[in-house]
Amino acid sequence: MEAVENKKLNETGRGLALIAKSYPDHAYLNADEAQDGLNHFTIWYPERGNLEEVFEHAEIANKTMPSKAPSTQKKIFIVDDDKTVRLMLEHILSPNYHVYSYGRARDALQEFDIVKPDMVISDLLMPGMGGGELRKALSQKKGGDLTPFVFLSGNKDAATIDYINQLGIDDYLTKPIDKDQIMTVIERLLLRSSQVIDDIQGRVSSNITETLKPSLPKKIGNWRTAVRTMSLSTGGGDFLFHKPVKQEDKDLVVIADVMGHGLEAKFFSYAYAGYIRSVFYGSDVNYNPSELLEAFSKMINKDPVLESTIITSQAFCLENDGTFLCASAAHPKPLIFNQQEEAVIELNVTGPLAGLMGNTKYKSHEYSLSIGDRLIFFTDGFFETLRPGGLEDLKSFLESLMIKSIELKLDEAIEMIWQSYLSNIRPNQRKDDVTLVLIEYNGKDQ
Amino acid sequence: MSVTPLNQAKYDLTVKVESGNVLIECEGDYDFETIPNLRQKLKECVPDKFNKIVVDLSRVEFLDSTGVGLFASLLKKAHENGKKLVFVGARGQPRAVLDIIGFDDLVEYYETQSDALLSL
Repeated sequence: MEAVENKKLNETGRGLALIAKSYPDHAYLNADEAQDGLNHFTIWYPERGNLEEVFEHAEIANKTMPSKAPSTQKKIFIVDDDKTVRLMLEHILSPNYHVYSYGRARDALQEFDIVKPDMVISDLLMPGMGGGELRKALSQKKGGDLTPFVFLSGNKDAATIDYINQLGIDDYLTKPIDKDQIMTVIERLLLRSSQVIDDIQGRVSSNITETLKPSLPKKIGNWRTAVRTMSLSTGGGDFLFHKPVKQEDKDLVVIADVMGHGLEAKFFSYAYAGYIRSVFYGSDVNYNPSELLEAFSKMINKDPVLESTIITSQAFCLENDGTFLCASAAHPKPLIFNQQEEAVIELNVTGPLAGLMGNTKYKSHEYSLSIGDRLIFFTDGFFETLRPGGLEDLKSFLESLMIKSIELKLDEAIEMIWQSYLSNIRPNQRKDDVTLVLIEYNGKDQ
Repeated sequence: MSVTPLNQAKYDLTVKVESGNVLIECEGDYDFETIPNLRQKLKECVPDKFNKIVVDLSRVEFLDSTGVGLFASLLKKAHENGKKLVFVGARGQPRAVLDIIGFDDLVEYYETQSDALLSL
């Protein structure tokens, strides 16, 4: 930034605080703090730029299309009746994307066939045609179903989330808009969309898959974690989600494995990920593991689109005092290594496949771990390994490796287990994503 | 009503509807290569109204997750109609897969078709 220009805006200040949050490079002074009692917004701009152009750009409400943008830039529709929100999104996105913004959903619908956007971001509640109706109308259009659709909503209540989930969208964002959050979501969805298209053309980039690989923080409360994963370009997908439980000394983790083969399964795996994400992060409810799986199951059961593939999942809660709660929806049972007894125990955590019934009930099983005890979770494409000639007994195989690796640090232990696993699976058996999670309880003093 | 089996050597599917019961006889590998054809066949042949669905797996050699998805959709259809789905002759690898997925809590297993039909 080479120059500064101040401009007093003759506005009430409504929305300026939100704008300022998204433009950290600029400055905002609230009327309460200003000597003249007015809101001030200071815009920093490059010295060679034309100030009039800067403000002209900010006033464009209908279409912001950078004329010199390379043709490879993705096209994004923004649909919101709130001009402030449109301006914010235009500013955030226009450096990297072609942005088309609309104050009315029906205008976006009309131009969809002409522009063929790569993604649609739409407000949920608008005068006239709402976001839900727009989503339904676009899904009837050629390519509309495959275009990632993200809702913006100011509501986080259960009824809104339920309604959004029923529409089969890819993700949703809550207002006020967080710049990092929206960029993350857009990049993820565009990557996913690109992946599907690349796959159709037989040109899947391994970099994309690499970007989306499951991961966990290395330290969760008094627990340490290590993850290894192998993702295939086609087939299902593995996911890991983690969040601290508000106001409690514990964390919730979900491991999920979308099964199936080929392009269809890969596509659905990311749809599932969006659904799970919306329940997991979109709700303020402090679910326990069984309640969380019940919510997933209810959601999946309602959606006929997802019936052509299946998902296994496990939800678990890591408490700081070493308590471990776990519920399972048809996921392989986790193993626990008890350091004191030097024994590996298979935890008998079972439950039916999510979505088979509308009101499936799950049970949370509780265990207490001592310092040094380790847990192992896996999604292993085990259907394939059950085929005669495959890895005959995955459980005993992992058991022996856990015992062998107990003297090693967690990172070294998982590396040893992972390498042994890979060397025992023949390449032609690698038809599904494989994820391995090793977790150790380190005690309160760590 | 009887439906001609699919004309492939690797897998088969026959649907019979008698006295309101749907009997589905499966054969061969039920995996991602065969399921798309089987799914279409099932869609065409399974009526909207029925008393019970009996799936005979005694001649199924291999079942993968796509195959499980096929039966999961059948199970959902049965439950939506307030009816039952039962399996006949599931053993070996297909049975192990169904157990892992948790079908054993939701369906009944029988040794023979007559046992399954008599269980009404």
